Amino acid sequence: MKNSSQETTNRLSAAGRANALMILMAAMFIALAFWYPHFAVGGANYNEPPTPTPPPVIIITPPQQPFRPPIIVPTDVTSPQLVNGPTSLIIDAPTAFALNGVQLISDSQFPKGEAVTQTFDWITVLAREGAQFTKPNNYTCDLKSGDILVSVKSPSKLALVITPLGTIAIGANGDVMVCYNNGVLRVMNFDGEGKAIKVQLDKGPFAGDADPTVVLACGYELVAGQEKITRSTLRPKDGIARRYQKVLENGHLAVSEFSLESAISSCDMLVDLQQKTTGVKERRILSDMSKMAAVLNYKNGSQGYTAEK
Amino acid sequence: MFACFGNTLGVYFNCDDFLHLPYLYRLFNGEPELFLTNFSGPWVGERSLYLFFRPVTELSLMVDYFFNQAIPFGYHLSNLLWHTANAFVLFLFTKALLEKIEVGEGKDRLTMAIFAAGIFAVFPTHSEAVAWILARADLVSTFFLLLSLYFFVVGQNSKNSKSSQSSQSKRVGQFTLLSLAAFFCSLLSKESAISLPVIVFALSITLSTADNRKQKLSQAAKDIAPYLVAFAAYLVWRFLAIGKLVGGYVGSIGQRLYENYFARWVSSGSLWQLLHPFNQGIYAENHVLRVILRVLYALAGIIVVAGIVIDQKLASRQKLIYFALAFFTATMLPNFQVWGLSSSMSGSRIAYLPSTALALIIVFSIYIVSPIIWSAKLGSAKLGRILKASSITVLISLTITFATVTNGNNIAWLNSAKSIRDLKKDVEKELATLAVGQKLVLFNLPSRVDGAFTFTMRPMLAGLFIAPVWPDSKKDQSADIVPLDYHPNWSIFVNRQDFETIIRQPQLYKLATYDAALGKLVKPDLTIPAELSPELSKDRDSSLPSLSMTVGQGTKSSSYYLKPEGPVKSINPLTVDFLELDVKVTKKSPQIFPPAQFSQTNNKASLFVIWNNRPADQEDQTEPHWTSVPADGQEHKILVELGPLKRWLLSKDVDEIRLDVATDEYDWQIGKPKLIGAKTITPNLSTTHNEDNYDLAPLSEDRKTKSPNQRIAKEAITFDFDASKTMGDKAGAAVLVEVSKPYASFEHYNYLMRERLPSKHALLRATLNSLKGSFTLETKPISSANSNASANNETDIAIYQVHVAALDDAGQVVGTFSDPVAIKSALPIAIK
Repeated sequence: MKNSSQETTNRLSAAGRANALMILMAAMFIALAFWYPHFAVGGANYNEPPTPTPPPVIIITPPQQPFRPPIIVPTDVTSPQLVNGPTSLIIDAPTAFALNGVQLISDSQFPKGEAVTQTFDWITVLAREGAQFTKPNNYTCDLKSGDILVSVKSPSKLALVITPLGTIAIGANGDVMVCYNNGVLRVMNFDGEGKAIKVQLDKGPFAGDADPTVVLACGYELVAGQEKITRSTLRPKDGIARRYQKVLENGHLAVSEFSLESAISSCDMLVDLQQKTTGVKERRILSDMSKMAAVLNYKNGSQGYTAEK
Repeated sequence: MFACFGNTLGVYFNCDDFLHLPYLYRLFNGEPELFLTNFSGPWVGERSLYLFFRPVTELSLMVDYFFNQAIPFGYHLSNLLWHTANAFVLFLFTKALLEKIEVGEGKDRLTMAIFAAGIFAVFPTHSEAVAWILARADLVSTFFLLLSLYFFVVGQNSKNSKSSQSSQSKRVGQFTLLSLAAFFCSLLSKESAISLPVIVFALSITLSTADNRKQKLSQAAKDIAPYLVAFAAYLVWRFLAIGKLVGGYVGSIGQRLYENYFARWVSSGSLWQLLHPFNQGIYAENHVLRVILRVLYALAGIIVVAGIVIDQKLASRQKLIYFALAFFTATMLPNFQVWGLSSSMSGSRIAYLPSTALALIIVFSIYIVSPIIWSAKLGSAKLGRILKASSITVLISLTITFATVTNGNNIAWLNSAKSIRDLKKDVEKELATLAVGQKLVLFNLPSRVDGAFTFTMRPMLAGLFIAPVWPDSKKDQSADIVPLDYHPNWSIFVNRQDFETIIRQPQLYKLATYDAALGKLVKPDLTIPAELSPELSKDRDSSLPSLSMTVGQGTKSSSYYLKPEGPVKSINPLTVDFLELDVKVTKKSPQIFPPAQFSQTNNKASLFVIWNNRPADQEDQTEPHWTSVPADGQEHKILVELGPLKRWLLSKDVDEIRLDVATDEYDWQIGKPKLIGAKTITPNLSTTHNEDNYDLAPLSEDRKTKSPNQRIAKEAITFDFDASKTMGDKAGAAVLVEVSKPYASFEHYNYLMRERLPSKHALLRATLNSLKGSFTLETKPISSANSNASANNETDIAIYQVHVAALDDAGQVVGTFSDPVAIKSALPIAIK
């Protein structure tokens, strides 16, 4: 046994090069078994162009149009909808419509770091006086308190706003107002291209299992509070007209639809923007927002909005 | 062997076979002098696609023709017999080699030799070599090369025999002579045999019993000396026959093959395809045979590692593996021009000879010859026997798997044969219904089916409609058939003006296109819009719909959807020539190193274009179409050529165009999509006389006769051009005319039908001070061309391309060059 082992040792050490070759051959076979290389597709030996591999196709699914019954003026007693239509629809409408602006998604759908590009020039944060926030990096804003307006213009791809109640992800060409005052988080989607933003609420009352991640459509406001939402929280006296509210999550979360048109003329940060005539970015933000206000009015109707005086 | 390759006996003639059959027909029907020119001129007298010297291969085809004429079965049977002979000679060679090295006992040597021959015999890359008649060159050349090696090893073995010194020398001398004769035949069969001296050198070192390296090298140098002399003699003969020392593929194809040889070696995946030899047209990505082969490779890897520990004959085996690796490398290198295996195994015939070495590498690596026994108590004897049996089992399994894969790969050739047979029948039917004076125009024919070649150039297609495949008893109708999209080689593009000429004159031309989905000729349903009429073409752009754009963004790519806006909801492809886009591509800068300014140089990104309602995919036509865009961070106006694309022209009512881009490396900004008609960007060019246009010439033009130059009577060809609408509001009144080198297509250099810049590869160039008019291309007088015709193909009759472009006052090209017009003439010498 000892002699045999010695023989083997001698043989292996004497044939060191052979072993290296054999290990190389073994590695080749293993690579052939487990490697999945990606080579150019097609091609041939008569020098057709080396065809690059096409990227994955992104299929656009048409956006789901929220169901919107016609706006009914209560005095219009001749309306067939009012006379013959289902009564329950009309009664439930104010809350049901608010839900059109919000959709629950899984946590994994909330954008991760890979969506961030190296281009940050077009991420703009405008703050109302007194707002306390920091920018830990080029695309993240950590809001402690106060009101800020975050705008992301292409080619920038993503900005994140971290708040005491959760994180907000704003995609390319998005404009969002985020306010955090007295334990109430208010997120208003002003997106200039009608795109949704994503909000992940995972802190405060939303910590633990019940951490909703939602998509908020353009023209809707999400209100989240450390305490239960009250009527005054839901409809603050800020001059912005709102309609259709829905309270969710044991009263800590609410959604309402707001009038972008009224926001542009009432919200002092946006009014300030209008006063600036030199900023390129500001002009782009405001221009997109005005167009979207008109689009929303056209699509969703402008009736029924009321502002608290 | 016959179970594995038996189905190839049903394959028809393919591709180059159609060049050789008319040649053999002429040889046996009134032109016996071709037998001699086979030894004194280029292979099959062909200079248009390649310049080879393979008289022995042609000799084997002559024998086949004598017995079979135009019956493919006999030729395929010959191929199979040659292949069987090769496997047998490899068996003899391996056995002789193992005896000389003294690896294991006689039983082991026999087993290893059987495995080497067996794996080689059924190796899946051989489908093309065995199923394609003209791959005979590889079969014959390999046969003689292996025979030469076998005689060399037998000669070396006889040195050690017990006979007298003089008798030994005599026997060695005899075997050396036999080896040299086989080497010479191998060289005359295919050029790749030039690797033999290198193999003999490696073999001599492997077999040498000398003590030091110097003696080994000295002996090896002596051994290869006679082979080098034979090689030198061959080179002289070859030079006298073809007029060039190197030869190979000619024209733009040859030129481009030389240019990117290294790139094809390292990036094509061909080496991978060699050991995963699945035709993707036959075997799906997740086919069970692919999985089995991977499992067997994994087991082989484990057994090789086990062999390191337990095989007592490891040193001998490694010596043999070193030789086999040298053999493999030496046989791969001479395929300097055409190396490349596609994912559908096109080009795999080139791997035929190297696969002999590959079979040796596999067997020598896996087969455990003599497992060491440590102690019977521990059961290691049993373990050794089990491992040896495992190595044999893996080799048997590999052989069976390879044989099964090969049998499947052969189906590509049967599919190709069916397509060609069906096409011939369809054409016969169409010819029967031709009106008087009408010509049948064939369009969109495939150049490959599942990787198996069909027709890659016009003369090959012509071979299907002339003798001997088209029997003498039938009326010769090759003058009634026009192949539209060969100029002169198969292309994804068509000359748009010629195409419009065809569809505008149905009384003169009957158009039939090949439908890849149906596998047959069909009459295309092309709606000829009013805008195509010449007088309205100026306003073509105004009638094109504008496009809306929607973007879908993913994590690694984006898709841009372009749809017609306004009342017109679909695009008639016949009205469109270009898709114009404003594109800005920026390469994403790496986080740390290198800085962005260094990484952006010479960078191009790919923009993929696809549309709906397109005809069935053909293997040749890349799906999707793509174009390169400079990734320099600057905004560029990109013109995507759609008008000359055959697939675009055969699409019906396109209502969506999609652009796909990869965004993981690049930032893309695409905007202002716009459809454009060619008349505002591309000048018109045509030959004054239709008969001078080779694109519209019938197949009878490609028939070779005793004096190939006899019908070229013209010493000047006139062209009409019109670049007046191209200038737009720019000042300028000149056009640039360019003539290509012989057998060169402008599109091969940039893969654009309509060049944007003057070509670096033009043979002749001239500037004419007019935007509309005509010019004359003068060619070398035919008498002097004939005098030197056999020595230099530039003075022979050849195919040339001509194109024109408008120039502004600064001498810059405005718009694009015209679609190139092909002509067949003697060497052009002046443009007037």
